Amino acid sequence: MAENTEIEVELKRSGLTFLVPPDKSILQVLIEEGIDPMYDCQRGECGICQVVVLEGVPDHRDHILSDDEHASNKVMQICVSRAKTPRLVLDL
Amino acid sequence: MSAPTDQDLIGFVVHEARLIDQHRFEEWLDLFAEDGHYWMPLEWGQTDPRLTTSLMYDDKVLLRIRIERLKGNRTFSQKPKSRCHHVLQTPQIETRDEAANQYVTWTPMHYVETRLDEQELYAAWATHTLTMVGGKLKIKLKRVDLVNCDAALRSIQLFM
Amino acid sequence: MGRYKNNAKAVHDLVRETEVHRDVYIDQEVFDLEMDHLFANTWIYVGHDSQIPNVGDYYGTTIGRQPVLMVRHSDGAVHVLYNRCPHKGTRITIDTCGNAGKFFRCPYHAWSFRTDGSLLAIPLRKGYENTGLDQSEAVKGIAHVKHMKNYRGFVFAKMSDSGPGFEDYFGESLSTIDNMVDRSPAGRLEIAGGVLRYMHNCNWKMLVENLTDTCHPMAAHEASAGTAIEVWKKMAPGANTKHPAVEIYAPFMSPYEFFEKMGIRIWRNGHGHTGVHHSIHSDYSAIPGYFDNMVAAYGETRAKAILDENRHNTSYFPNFTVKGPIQSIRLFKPLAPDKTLAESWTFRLVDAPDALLERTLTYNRLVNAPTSILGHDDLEMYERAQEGLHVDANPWVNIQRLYDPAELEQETAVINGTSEWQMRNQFRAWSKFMTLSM
Ligand SMILES: [Fe+2]
Repeated sequence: MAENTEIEVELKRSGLTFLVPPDKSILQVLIEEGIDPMYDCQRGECGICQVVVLEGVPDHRDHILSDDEHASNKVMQICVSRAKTPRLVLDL
Repeated sequence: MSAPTDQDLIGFVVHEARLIDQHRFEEWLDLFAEDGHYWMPLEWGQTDPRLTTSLMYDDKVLLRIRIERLKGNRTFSQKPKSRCHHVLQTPQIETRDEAANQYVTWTPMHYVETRLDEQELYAAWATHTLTMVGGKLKIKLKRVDLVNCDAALRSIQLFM
Repeated sequence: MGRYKNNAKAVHDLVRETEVHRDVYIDQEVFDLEMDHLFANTWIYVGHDSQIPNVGDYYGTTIGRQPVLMVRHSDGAVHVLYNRCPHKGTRITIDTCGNAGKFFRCPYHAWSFRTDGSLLAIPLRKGYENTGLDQSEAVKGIAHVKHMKNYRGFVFAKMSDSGPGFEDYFGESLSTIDNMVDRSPAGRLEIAGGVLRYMHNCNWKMLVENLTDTCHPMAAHEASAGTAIEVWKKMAPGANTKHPAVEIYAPFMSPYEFFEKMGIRIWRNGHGHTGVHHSIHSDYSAIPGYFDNMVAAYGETRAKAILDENRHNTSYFPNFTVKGPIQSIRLFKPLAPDKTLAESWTFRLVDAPDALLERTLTYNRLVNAPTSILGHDDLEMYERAQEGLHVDANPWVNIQRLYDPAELEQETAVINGTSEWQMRNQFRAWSKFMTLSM
């Protein structure tokens, strides 16, 4: 697993942008910022926190998506997955 | 007027159950103070008998109606009559307040009511709020909390 | 077994013009057909939307034998779902009521569903790749009860596509629900006080028929209501005011003439009500402040018109009943041919004095609780009938009182309060909705 790096996450629909530090998940930051996303397991298993990726390349670390879905980079699980690009734009 | 001993309070609660089991309802009703109530809450931990429904919240008039009804010649649900049986744990003294003339006991119990071939077992806690009136202990409030207070229940025709 | 299934004629023949066959009460196969046909083709009361005020709130109940959930979705709309995980059948919720949050999560394998029932996510979904899951029943999410209607807070559902639409089914009978809601100065009801649940070892229809059976109180309730009157006479001779319990019990001992004149109204599809002109609820003492609240909300003329309705029991076919002046409803849930759960619920009239709710709850406790002496009278009769019907010498139950063949042509009527026309009306509807889909 690659070392965690900081990610800039833009939420397209709400127009907000956050910095996700290496020691926090995207989900954690969104919760702390009061975005109130849907989530459950926080282990990349349940699929509830899945979001559509509009820009950027996710670094998938979940157990939900198939290889094809991982390769397409269209959706990601924000509780565990991070980014291969410095910036992600999510459909939130 | 001397205050009741703990043993007086315990004896009172045991005697009260015995009067019910022996269908000595006149003597039993006489144990209640004039403003006494018999309360069986519907909700777990219920605090209010007024704006929350109860299974029973009887004053002496209602208790008298129940007792008279049990005797009635046309009380078909008591042909044959129900019988009942209490098993009490030793009543525990919750509070003694001699200045306020108020004594509270707490008594876990099993209660069986039976009629025809049907027999129902209930588990409950009885909380007696007692007071001395004219040298005798009287019931201000007998509260019976069923462990399954909110269950779908069959008829309960006697007193726990 | 096998006499009635796929045999509409045999089911039809159970109901004669003035008699019904005992099998409608005691036969397991007829009961099963009721669950499959009658409770599918008719609109069944589910719950009141004040039980689920907030987004994500749910309430679990049954329609016939089917476990269902009434839930408040994120857009505020009420949905009625079958309480079954589409995955392996687990009941989605275990508590009777609660809040699901943003989604339901099945406790067994953590499949998740939005509060409108649609599938949200499947854990470890990659294991279903190329399995054709998208063609499965499971992927459709939690099934909806096909038809539902929220009428002024009262949520009804119909499981089958056959049978009439909501307005057509209930028609003018909705005026009873209207009147109960209008009794709130704010025009709003809230479920309050808690539900009394009383188990009866008899057929559910015995409780329904009893609602408009005005020839039984003076006989069956002499024990309770009669005793209450006698005790009060002795304890408070010449008293001007009545004890609250006596005020509630005493009218049950009214003479036949009172019940004859109170009248019964007949509606289509088995609905009807007692208490057209007056009822046992007419002479309750006034609750201080309530009338003023009503006048302030509606004006004097309209307030009087609302409060002058004293409908006794409105029977919504098949198993729901409303008491407007008392703000209580009862639901008779069929569990087996000889087992019925009677649920009695009560309402707070929003913006009315608490004393009104207090009387409502007193009434419910004194009349509908498993500890009610009046309830003991009735239950004894139902259970004796349930046993007596096993006598082979006469398999027919009589419902002939004040019968006139001309009534077969009439859909709506106001009649003598001791008529059994409403019982016949119910059984005609029973026959119709039982065989509609056979
Ligand atoms: Fe009755």
